[in-house]
Amino acid sequence: MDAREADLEQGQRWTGWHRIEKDLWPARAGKYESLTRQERARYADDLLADTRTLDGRIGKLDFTVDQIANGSRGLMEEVAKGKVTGEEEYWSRTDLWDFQANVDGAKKAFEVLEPVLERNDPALEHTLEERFDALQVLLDRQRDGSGFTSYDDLSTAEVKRLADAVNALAEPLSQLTSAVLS
Amino acid sequence: MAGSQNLSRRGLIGGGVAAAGLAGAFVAGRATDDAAATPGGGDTTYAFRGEHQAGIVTPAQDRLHFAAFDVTTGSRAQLVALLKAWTAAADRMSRGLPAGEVGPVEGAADVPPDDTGEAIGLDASGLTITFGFGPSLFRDARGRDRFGLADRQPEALRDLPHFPATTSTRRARAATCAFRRVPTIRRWPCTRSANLARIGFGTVAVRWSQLGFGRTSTTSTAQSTPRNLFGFKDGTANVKAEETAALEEHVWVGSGDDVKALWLAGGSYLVARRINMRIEIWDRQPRSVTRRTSWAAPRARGRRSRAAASSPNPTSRCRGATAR
Repeated sequence: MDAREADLEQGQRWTGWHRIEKDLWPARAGKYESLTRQERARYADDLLADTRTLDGRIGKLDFTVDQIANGSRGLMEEVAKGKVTGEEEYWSRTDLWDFQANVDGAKKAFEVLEPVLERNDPALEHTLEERFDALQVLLDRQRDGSGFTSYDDLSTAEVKRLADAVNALAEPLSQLTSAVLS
Repeated sequence: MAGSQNLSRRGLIGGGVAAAGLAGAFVAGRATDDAAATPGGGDTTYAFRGEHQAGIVTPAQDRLHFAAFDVTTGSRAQLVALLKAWTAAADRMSRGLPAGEVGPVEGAADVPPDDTGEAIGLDASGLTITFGFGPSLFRDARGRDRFGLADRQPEALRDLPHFPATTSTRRARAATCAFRRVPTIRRWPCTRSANLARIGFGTVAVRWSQLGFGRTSTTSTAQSTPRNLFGFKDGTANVKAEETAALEEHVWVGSGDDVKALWLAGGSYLVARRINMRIEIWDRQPRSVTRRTSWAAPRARGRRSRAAASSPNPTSRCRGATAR
């Protein structure tokens, strides 16, 4: 569903969101041959079906406290690695949408654990809350209609501010697992 | 999650496709703090000319400058002249001499010096300069013979395939010519490369270059393996200079290995890979992942050694290439 072209190993077929993304935003692809109507329909139908399957399965899963805490950290790592750098949505430059979604996920996990954290480490809870807020303020500045500015329209200074805010959040977030388990 | 691919030095120079070695190298050194801590420091020199190029099984030095050039001329005569001039300059610099015969200071006042001068007062300090050719020296992108060398292109010297989690290798792949220099004194690599780049103006142009510091692999049993920036010991499984039979098998091209490329006998292959180390993210991993403390290699592997070559490194995207 989420494989990027560069991730493929020999013999693997490229499907999922990023395959569709390249076809919708072929500007950076150079000599790109568009998918046919039938191909487009197939990739889209497959992605929708896979998303429904995933959604159905997630609802039936149980998560432990450390899985939730590590998941929160992992989501911010993804942001630091691929989203604040503009690598994830190479074709469409819609990285800030992903960025926001990861922050939402990390925040949700944090909120689920907040009652435990409040008891175990109120200072960490306070710091995390503050830094989630600070990052959200920066993201909100890039809102454009129902979405976000294109990654290409961000200035170097704006990218740096976002990256700094991600690091500022991710660092204390790496203490979350141990704090909720203690 | 970060992709991880691991190439030992053996992989890099044994099975690769990017650049093929020629012949020759040298080293000299002086007793600075840098040099004293490093094999090949002090007043060590490595001969530029010889059966094999220096800088391959030479005890790995602490500094590196890797530069890749595009050959911009279409003239075979100009290419030949450049390679001769580079050979002479590299030979001299390997002995701790200026790049040109006049030197940075002497000579007529109305012409520029034939050495860039930054290394005045320094010995060779274990400098080695290693040259190689990429596939595009033999054939251009359309397969045409560029310099009458196509029939001597080594069989294994081909463009690299795509590697998962690797980006933008195209830039590196196209490079025609590369050299690296690995002295033990901090200031050396750039200054010596500047001389070679300067000699090449008009015939070749720098495509990309990479400075390296802090040796993290070993090429000799006399060396220990310092940790890399993730805190791992990397490159412990390399074939060592002392293992002559293994070198013959895995590193050196034999005289009967490739009948079309007899010139390559005694040479080797090199694949350079530039790795983007996301250290901030790595440093936030719990110890159960990073196993930093006193562990030389990931726990599951137990003892370090040959097996360590396949230890997972948290490298993710990499661009272009690097020499180890």
